[in-house]
Amino acid sequence: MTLSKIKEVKEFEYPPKVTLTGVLKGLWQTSKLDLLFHSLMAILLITGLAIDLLGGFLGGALAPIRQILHGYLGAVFTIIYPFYLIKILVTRKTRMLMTGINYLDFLLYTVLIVTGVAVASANQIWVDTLPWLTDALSGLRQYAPAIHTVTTYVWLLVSTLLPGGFLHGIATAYLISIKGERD
Amino acid sequence: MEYAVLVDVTKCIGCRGCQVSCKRWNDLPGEKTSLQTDWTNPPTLSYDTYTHIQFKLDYNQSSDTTTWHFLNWRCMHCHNPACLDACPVDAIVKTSEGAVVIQTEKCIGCKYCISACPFGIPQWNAQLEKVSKCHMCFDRIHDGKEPACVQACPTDALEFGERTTIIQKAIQRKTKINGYIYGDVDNKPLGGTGFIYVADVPLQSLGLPDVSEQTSLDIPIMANSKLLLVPAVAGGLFYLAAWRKRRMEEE
Repeated sequence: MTLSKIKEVKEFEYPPKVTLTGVLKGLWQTSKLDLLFHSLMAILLITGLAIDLLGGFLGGALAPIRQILHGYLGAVFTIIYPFYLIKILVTRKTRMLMTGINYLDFLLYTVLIVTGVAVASANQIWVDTLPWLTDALSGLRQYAPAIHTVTTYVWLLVSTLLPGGFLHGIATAYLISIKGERD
Repeated sequence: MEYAVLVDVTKCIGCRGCQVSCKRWNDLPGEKTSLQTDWTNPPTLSYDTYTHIQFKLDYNQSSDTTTWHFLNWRCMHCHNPACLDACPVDAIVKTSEGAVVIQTEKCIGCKYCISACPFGIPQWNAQLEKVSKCHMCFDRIHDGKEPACVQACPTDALEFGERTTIIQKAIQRKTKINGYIYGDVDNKPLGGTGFIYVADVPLQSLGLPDVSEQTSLDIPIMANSKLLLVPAVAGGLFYLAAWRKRRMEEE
């Protein structure tokens, strides 16, 4: 190899430019499960709050949001959640980063998932395909909506003040926005 | 004025006239069903079946006799409906006449009402992604008529009237037959129901559930859970402000 053939190395930007796309790309490269978990988490929270807070104003217009963005994506979240939880618990690095409040966060996510599934278990498809699931959750179904909604608000409060996952999310979004501005 | 319907189980002959008239008035399609061993047909309520007669065979071991009970079953039109509290888009309303009505165009199909109703009344349609149930013929009541099922009943097992009058009639009937009342007086599921049952056997033995006077959403923390957002937002802003200040000091 001659010197002339050496590729010119592009000058590195330091500190690297921080944008939301950059963070998402980085997350995609390092852990797709992380990206899926965090994205779905944000979508489910925003759509859930929209349904609960704006339902009285928007009414039936929220139907596709409830069905697709909160319902179907909620089902995807339910499927990936155990894998994410296992990944968090078996990886030493992530375990070291976890605080007690983060464990509380995960407990509340579990409550949200169980109650969400309890509500969805009234769907005919579940009654037909997994009748045992419908039976198992039938006792919980009456209280599931109330628990689901209240748990969300309790999580928002706990997770912000103590602080936990929600503040982590807000702080990250804030950090990205001010870093992007400064760069 | 709030209205109610007295359901006298001892007078019902199981003719299913109420089922048919409900279908006709609401223009609901018939459904293909199969004959069940207990003769209840259609076996359950559905999106297109707001009311049906449940056939209950009661066996008395001591006298070795069997007795039929026919139970008119549909929405109870509770005074304090759990479905109404649970609906996040206010698609369910309680009219001044006492009818609990689902406004289908507002329904987003979240099924919260299905979960919340202790009687298992609201019915889901997977194709339409909507929920329906009996609406007590609120349109007929508004025009000074009685609900279609009541009008069709040939034995006056269903009686429509002003709520206080209906409760008085229920008490009189209970005394006369030495029976039981469900929906008011003896018990008040969800604050009392719009359909009040009288029977010669405890209604719980015919499958009516024991329901408390309050819904889970009546607990103040549940009804006002949105208020938790205020300290959460305030706390979040405080954290961000403190963090920003620290960063600026460091810089």
